Amino acid sequence: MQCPNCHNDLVEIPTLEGPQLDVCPGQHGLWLDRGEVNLFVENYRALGATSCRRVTGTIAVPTGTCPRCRGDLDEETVLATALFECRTCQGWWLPKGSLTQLHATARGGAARIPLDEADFYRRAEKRALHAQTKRAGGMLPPRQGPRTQHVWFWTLCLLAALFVAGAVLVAGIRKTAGLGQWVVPPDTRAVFLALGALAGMGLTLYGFVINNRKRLIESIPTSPVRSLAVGLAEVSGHAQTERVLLRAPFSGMPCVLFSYSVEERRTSAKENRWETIAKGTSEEPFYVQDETGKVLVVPFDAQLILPDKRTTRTNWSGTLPEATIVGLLKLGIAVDGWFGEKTIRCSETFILPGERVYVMGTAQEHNGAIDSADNAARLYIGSNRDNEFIISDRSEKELLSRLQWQVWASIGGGPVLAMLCLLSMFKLYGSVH
Amino acid sequence: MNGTLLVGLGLMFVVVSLIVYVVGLYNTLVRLSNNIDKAWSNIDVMLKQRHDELPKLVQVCNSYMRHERETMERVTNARSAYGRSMSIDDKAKAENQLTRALGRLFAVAEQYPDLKANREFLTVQQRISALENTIADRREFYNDSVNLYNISIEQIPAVWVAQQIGYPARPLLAVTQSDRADVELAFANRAA
Repeated sequence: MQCPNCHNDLVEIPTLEGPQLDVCPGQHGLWLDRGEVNLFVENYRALGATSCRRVTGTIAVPTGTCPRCRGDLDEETVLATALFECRTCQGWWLPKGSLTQLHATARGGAARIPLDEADFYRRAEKRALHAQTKRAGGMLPPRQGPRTQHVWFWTLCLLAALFVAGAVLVAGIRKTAGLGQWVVPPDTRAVFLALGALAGMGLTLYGFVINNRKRLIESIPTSPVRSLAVGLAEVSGHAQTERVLLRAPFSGMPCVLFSYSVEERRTSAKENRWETIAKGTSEEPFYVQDETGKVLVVPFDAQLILPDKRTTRTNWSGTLPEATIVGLLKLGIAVDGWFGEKTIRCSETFILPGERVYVMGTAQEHNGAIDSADNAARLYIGSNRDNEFIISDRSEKELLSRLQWQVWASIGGGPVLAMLCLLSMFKLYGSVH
Repeated sequence: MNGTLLVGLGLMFVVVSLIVYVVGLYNTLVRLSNNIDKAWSNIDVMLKQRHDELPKLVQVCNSYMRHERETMERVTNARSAYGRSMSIDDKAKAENQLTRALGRLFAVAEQYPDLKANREFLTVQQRISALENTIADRREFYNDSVNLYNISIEQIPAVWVAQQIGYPARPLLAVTQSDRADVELAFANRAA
């Protein structure tokens, strides 16, 4: 919206009375939509007595159109105060001083309304100046971001170091390839050592991935459910069922969430191995309740970190417990093979009702529940393709400790494995100089 | 064994590990810093909702508490002060001022049974109380976010690079001595 006098952008000023005032920072006047003036005068009923007498005097006559709808502005006199009314939207443009005059003339309503028009103009001027210098880049930013020149400097340094290391490595490879002769021709053992070296590098990379996940969990404070905000969030509390309790598939334990896997032993001439023939996770939502409230969690696509696995397997006589057989049949998995009962191993993990649970995921709004102020009704925690989604029955501290061990094992063990394999390979198959 | 190759392998491993670690550290600082801004914005959202409730509260209270002018003016002045403030520090001070003014208003309202029985007043009072609880939670969350960030940039090795790349320590939301003082009540003479 623009001032009809100077065509500068009007600045929005919040007021105690409710509506945002649109004020010209050049102090030419202010804009009120139809009816808003009633909130600034005590005896608003007296405003109905208007007069179309043309006013001549010292007020600035606007040359422009209505700030709201670009319609024409007509001069009006209300309670001996000059103003301009839009023919189309019936809003009012009040030159500076007119609102104060109206307020002073229309006193005596049900409630006293304090008014300081000069304060509106001061605030508008200040906000306009703030916006202007922010756009020009001359003002201090709200927070100091990264110094770009330093980031570039360190990036170039690291790239230079990478280049030097790469050059040395290539020179070493060329030297080895040029001078070296295989002491022993490469065989299957060499392939395994090469795979071992690659596995070591892969393990190191995996360690960095786990480290990033650990840093993400560390960097997000735990939020009380009552003040949960939309976005990536972390909550901790006790699990509660939403409607009815679930039953773990093999043990029949009442729970709010379960995960299972079924493996069958496959025997061939060369080897015996366990092959996963079925796995799954329950998808029914459940509540996490803390001291301040409860929030729904939809576990679809969540990464479950439930270390306590309950496993049942075919016993020495080749039979499974009755409950496990019933569970397998419910899942549609046959227990009999061509040659009698299969050798099967069933694993399940679950979260019991009332058990302590940690959830990190994306808090989102239900469709159609936007107006509710209560988080329990308005939000749920679910998966999002951009964010991690973790559900665990361990506390955050235990989870971080577990991840820390995995990081050390991967980042420590991975390079050691890779170096051992490479050194063994060159010792056994390469020439020595 | 080719010494050059071994040196190259070792050097490559060290440099690649350093790059991966530094990139991870930088991204963590970016995330922590943005978490702080987000936490403040989430407080702002609640403060805006509280501000929107105030005109209704003032309108209802004005009808009953005609003689408690000073109490009402404290609330209106505090709300105006928030509208004028620009920096986070100024906004936090203005909000503390408003919280104290509202606390005083609700305490004074206890002396007006007709007002306490007014349904609209009760609804607005409950709504503002619920918002204030949420605001308090989010202030703690903001301080937690700042604390995590400050710890990260002060630990080794981040302490060597954080200042270099423009990540200084951020201040916590503090409560001033005057905000800790108990609310003083002085009731106007209600004889009309």
